[in-house]
Amino acid sequence: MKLLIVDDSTLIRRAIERFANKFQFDEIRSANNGANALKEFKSFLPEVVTMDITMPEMDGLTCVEAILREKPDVQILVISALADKSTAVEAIKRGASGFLLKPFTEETLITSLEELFEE
Amino acid sequence: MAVSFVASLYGIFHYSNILRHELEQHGEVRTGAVLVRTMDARWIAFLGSIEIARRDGQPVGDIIKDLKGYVTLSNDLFKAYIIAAPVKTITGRTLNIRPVNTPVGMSVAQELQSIWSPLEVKIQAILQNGENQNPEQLAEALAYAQKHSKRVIEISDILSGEENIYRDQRMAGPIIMRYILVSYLTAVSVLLIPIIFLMGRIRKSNTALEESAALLNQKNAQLAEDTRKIEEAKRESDVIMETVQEGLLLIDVKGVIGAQYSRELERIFRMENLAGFNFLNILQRVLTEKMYNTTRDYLGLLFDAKRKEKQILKVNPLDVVEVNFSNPEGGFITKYLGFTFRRVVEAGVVTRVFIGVGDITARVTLERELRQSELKKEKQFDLLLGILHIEPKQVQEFIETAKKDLLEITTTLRAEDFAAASAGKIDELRDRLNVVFRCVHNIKGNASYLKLIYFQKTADEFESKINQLRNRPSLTGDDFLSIVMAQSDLRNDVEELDEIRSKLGELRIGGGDSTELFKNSDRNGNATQTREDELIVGLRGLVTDIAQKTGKSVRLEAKDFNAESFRSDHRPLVRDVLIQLTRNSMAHSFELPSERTKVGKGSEGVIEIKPTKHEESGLNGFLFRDDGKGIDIGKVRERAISQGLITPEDAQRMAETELAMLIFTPGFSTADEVTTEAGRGMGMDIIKEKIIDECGGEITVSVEPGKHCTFGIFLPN
Repeated sequence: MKLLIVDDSTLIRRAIERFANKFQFDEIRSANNGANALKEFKSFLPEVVTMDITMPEMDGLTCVEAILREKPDVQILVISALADKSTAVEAIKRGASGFLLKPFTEETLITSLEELFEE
Repeated sequence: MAVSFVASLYGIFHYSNILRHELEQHGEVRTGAVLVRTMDARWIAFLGSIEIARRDGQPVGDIIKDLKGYVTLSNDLFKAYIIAAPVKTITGRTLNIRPVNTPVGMSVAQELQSIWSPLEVKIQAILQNGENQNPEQLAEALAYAQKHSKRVIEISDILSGEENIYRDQRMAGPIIMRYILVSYLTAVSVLLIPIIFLMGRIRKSNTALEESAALLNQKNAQLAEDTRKIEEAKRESDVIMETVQEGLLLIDVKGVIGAQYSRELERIFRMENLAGFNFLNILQRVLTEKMYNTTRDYLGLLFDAKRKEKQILKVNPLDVVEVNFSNPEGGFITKYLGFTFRRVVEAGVVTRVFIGVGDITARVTLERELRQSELKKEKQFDLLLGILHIEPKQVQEFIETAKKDLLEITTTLRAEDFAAASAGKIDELRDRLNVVFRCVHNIKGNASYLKLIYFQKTADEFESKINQLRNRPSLTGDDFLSIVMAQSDLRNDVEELDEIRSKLGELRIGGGDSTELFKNSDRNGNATQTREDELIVGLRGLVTDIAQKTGKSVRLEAKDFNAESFRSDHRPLVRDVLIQLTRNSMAHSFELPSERTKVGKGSEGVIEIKPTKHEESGLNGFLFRDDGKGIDIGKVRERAISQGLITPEDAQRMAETELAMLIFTPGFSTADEVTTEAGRGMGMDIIKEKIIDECGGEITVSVEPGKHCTFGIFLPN
C-alpha cells in the first residue's frame, strides 16, 4: 500500500511521514501543493492520500475532486487547521473519506488512517 | 359475512389511504403557512442587502437574482391559498397547497394577497432597476414591508390554526365519509358478483366454510391480542416520548418529521404539532444561512449510504450550535443546542435519520464564564506583576490621570451626538477623533513611562483603531462604535488596576513598611520627602528603554530639576510634558552613535533638563535641551505645505523658529514611520493645548539644525 502526503509545510509533511511509518506503507511520497499532488498522483497511484486544504496553486478540496476523478476508490484523509465546521462537511461532501483537525498527534493520525479502512 | 369482512378490509385500506393523503396535505399546508411567516423577513432582508450594497457601491446582481426567486415563491404560495396549486420552494421541494376553506382562512388568504400585490409592484420596479438602484424606491418598499411585517406573521399563525380546524372538519365531515361510503359500496358490489356465483359451491362445502369461519375467529382473536400488545407498547413509548428530557425525532430522506417524536422537541423549537413538518425548514428559521447550508449538506451525507457513518458523525456541524429565536417581546433569544445523529438503515438503504436535540445553553454559558474568569485572573496577575515594581503613588497618579483622560473621551463620544451626525459633519467627527487620540496617547505615554506594558499595549491597539478611522475618506456615527467599545474596555482595565492597587495598598500597609508612602499620596501632593528625582528616575528608565530598542545611546542630566518647585496641581502635567518631550527626542532628534561621530559629536547624546525663569513674564519653568539633530526644518516645511497648513509663499517668509512652532499643530508629524515611540503626529499639540490654553503658561523653541533643539516650558506660580 502506498501513501501520498500533500501539505505545503515541510514540517507537517515530515511529521505525517514519521507518524505514518507505523502503518508500514510500501512507499511514501509527498507534494507541496495541489497541482504537484495531482501530477505525482497520476504516476504514483497510491491507495491513501493525506490532504491539506489551504495551499498555493490549487487548494486541497479542488485537488480531492481531481484525484477522485483519476481513481474513485482512493481513500483521502483531509487534514486541516480550519476549525470551521462547514469546511469539514464540505471536505466529506467533495469525496474525502475522513477529516482530521490540526494540530494532530501521532495517535489521532493513526486512528484516522485506520478508520479509513474500517467497514 | 366473509364478503362484508373483505369489503370492510378494502374499505379500511382505502380509508387509510385517504387519511394518509389528507394528513400529508395537511402537513404541507401548514409548512406553507410557516413559509408565509418567513416571507416578509426575506423581503426586508433582500431590500436591506440591496440598499447596503448600493451604498457601498457593490454590485447587486446576485441579490436581485435571489430576490426574483422569492418573488416567484411569494406569488405561487399566496395564490395557492386561494386556488389550490403545487408550490416549488427555494430548496426545490414541492408543497401541495390548497385553500384553508374556513371563512377566516379564506379571508386572511385574500388579505395576504392584498398586502403582497402593492409590494410586488414596488419590488418588480426594483428588479427592473438592476445596478442603478434608486434609494427612495428601496426605502419605500422597505418601509412597506416593515409596516406589514407583524400582520404577515399573524396571518401565518391564523392560517396554521385554521388549517387544524379545517382538517378536523374534513376528517369528520361529509367529504371523507362520502369517500368511505363510495369505496365501501364499490368493494361490496365488485366482490358480490363472483361470490353469488360461488354460492352454489359454498353451500356444498358448508363444513369447509365453518372451518374457515373458526379459523377466521381465531385469527380475529389473535389480531385483537396483537392490537392490545401493540397498544400497550405504544402507551409505553408515548410515556417515554412525553417525559424524556431530549428532543428525539426521526426524519425521512426529504427531511419530514415522523409522527412519533418527544414532547421536548416542541419545547426546544417553541412550535407544536411538528409531525409532517420539514425539519430543515424549522432549522432554517433559527440557524445562520451558512450553518443552514452546511446542515443541509450534512443531512445529505447522512442519507448517502455510500459514505461511512463513523466519518460523517465525526464532522457533525451541529454538536454545539448557536440558534436565535425571535422573542415575542421583541428582539432575539439566543440559545445553544447540541444535536446528535444516527442512521436508520433498512436493506442497505438509509431510510431515516434519528436525531437527538438538547438545549445545552446552560453548559455552554458556564464553560464560557469559566473561560472568561480564567482570562480575567490571568490579566489581573499580569497587572499585579506590572505594578509591583512601581511606587504606589505613581500607580495612583497613573490611575487618576487615566480616569481623567477616559472621562474626556466619554464626553467626546456621546452616542446620541453620533446618531445625529451625518457625512456632512465630517470635520466635527474628525475633531472629536483627534481629541480621543490625544487622550489615548497620553495614557500610552504614562503607561510606557511606568513600564505598564499591558496598558501600553492596550492603548497602542486603541490608537491603531483610531488611526484606521482617521484614514477613512468618510465617517459616520457608526464608525465610532469600535472606539466606544475600546474605550469601555480600557476603562474596565483601569478600574481593575485601581482595585488591585487598593488591595495591594492594604497589603503594604498591613506589612507596615510603606505606610509613610501612602500618607504622602494624598491628592494635594503635600509630599516633601525625597520625591524630587522620582520623576527623573522614571525618565531615565524611559530613555534607557527606548535607547535599547532603537540602538541609540543617550544620557539624561537633570541635577537641579525639582518637580516640587511647580504648583502641585501642575505636577502631573509637568510629568506628562517631560515624558512626551523625551519620547520625541528619542524618536526624532537623536541620531545613531555612528551618525553622531560622523558629524563630529560624541557618540552619546545628552538630554539636559534644567530649571529656569521666563525672561519677560518671569514664569517658573524649565528648559529641555537635546543635542540631537533637532527639528528637521526642511521636513517640517515640506510636511506643512503638503498637509495644507501653510502655502509655499508662507514658507518662504517664515523664520526657522516660526516653522518649528508648526509641530504644535494638531495632527502634525514628521516621523517617517509610525512606531510606538512617536510619530503619530500627536503629542506636541497636547503639550501646547495643556500648557498655553489650559494653564496660561508659555512655550519657547530654539533650534540649531543638526546641533540641538531646546524647548522652554513655563507655568504660572
